[in-house]
Amino acid sequence: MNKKKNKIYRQPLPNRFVHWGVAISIIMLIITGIGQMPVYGRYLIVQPFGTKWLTSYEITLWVHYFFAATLLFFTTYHIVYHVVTHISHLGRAEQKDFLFSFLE
Amino acid sequence: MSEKISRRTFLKRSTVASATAGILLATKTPGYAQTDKSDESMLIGSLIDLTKCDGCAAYDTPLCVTACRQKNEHRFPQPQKPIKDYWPRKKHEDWSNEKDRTDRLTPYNWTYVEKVQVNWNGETKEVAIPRRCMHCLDAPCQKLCPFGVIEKTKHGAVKIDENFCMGGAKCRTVCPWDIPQRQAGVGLYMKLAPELAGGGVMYKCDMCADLLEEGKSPACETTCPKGAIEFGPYEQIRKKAYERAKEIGGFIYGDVENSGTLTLYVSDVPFDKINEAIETKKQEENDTRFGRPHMKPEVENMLETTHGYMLATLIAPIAGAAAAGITAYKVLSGQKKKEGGDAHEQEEK
Repeated sequence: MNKKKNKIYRQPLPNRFVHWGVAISIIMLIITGIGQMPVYGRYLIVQPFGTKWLTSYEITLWVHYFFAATLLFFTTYHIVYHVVTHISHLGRAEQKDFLFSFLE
Repeated sequence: MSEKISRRTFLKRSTVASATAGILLATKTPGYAQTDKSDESMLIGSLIDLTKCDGCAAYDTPLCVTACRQKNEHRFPQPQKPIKDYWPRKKHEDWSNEKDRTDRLTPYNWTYVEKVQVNWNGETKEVAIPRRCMHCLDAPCQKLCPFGVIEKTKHGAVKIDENFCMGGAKCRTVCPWDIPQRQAGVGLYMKLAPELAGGGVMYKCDMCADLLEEGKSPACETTCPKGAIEFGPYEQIRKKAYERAKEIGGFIYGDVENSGTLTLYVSDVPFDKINEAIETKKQEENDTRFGRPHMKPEVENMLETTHGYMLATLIAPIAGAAAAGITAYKVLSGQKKKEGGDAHEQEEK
């Protein structure tokens, strides 16, 4: 047995997928969202390597929209996945009750 | 409120509330402050006929420029001195010592006439081009102002609110022609944290929005002795521009540029030649400051490329739901096979 097989994950793959997807999307949305303000061009006196793109309103806008799409993807994935698996764990009567609760 | 709210009622109401908010946002219902008030049937366009304009050769300053300055003088910036630098940068933009300049766009001069020599068809021609804001149909400055202080009037005039502008100059950066010009030492930022944030106020032509509101013509049109500037209902102006171009075998600038603007130039000299002449003149004069816009044909609108990304945000939730459905199905069917096995364990195998 190699080391990798001994590793125990606390969370199943779909959860880890959603967790990191949402985390990266939100961080990038914050960074590029700030980039839509006239901030980086003025205050970044020393331009750290690889951050020049942050001073372009055009590029930060594209990246912002990109991560808006990924955040929407991961959040709907999260909701749909858990609703579907949750319903399937219920008994027949409970499933009926759950669905009818929306109609009451 | 004495009514008891059960968990179920609460969930239901919050679902309805967020769905309603979503629909309101998606359908652009004006439930919130809107800065784009343009009405397609009321748009005012302008036709600038370069075959008629001679840059007022008989006058020291072109009459449209003088009229514009007189009309807007009361709105010109009066900065508090000494003007501080834009911390942490060691610079600021100050035009208050060059108030009399009429040879470029400045916070004190919202229109000017660029005069160039253009070689075309074996002859050298003097071309005078009145320049100012083009008033774009899909204006990046108005859509992207971080403070939401650029308005589009019902006539389509793009107007900066000088009382609330912070002077970040994003409008100038996203404008293909770098039209709005900045003056430091004035505006809202002086009342907030002038040493740390803000840069002044941006100034540019507002198509004499107040005169249009009264049904009058903009100052530049009324004073032009040659009838080279004409304002009118956009569709009529556009038709007229194409007719005039056909008549003289000429060219149009402003109809496709930046996805279309309300300003249409007509010339018997191609605009790439005019652009070349402007660029050469600026290079010769070693002029690198803002305020002398180019005339590159078919210049692109930076918002155009983002439309595809907006579509992606509409598809993303559908893709997310589909992917979740497939994963849930796989996990659940694996679970059934194992009978009572844990979904999490299944996932790891």
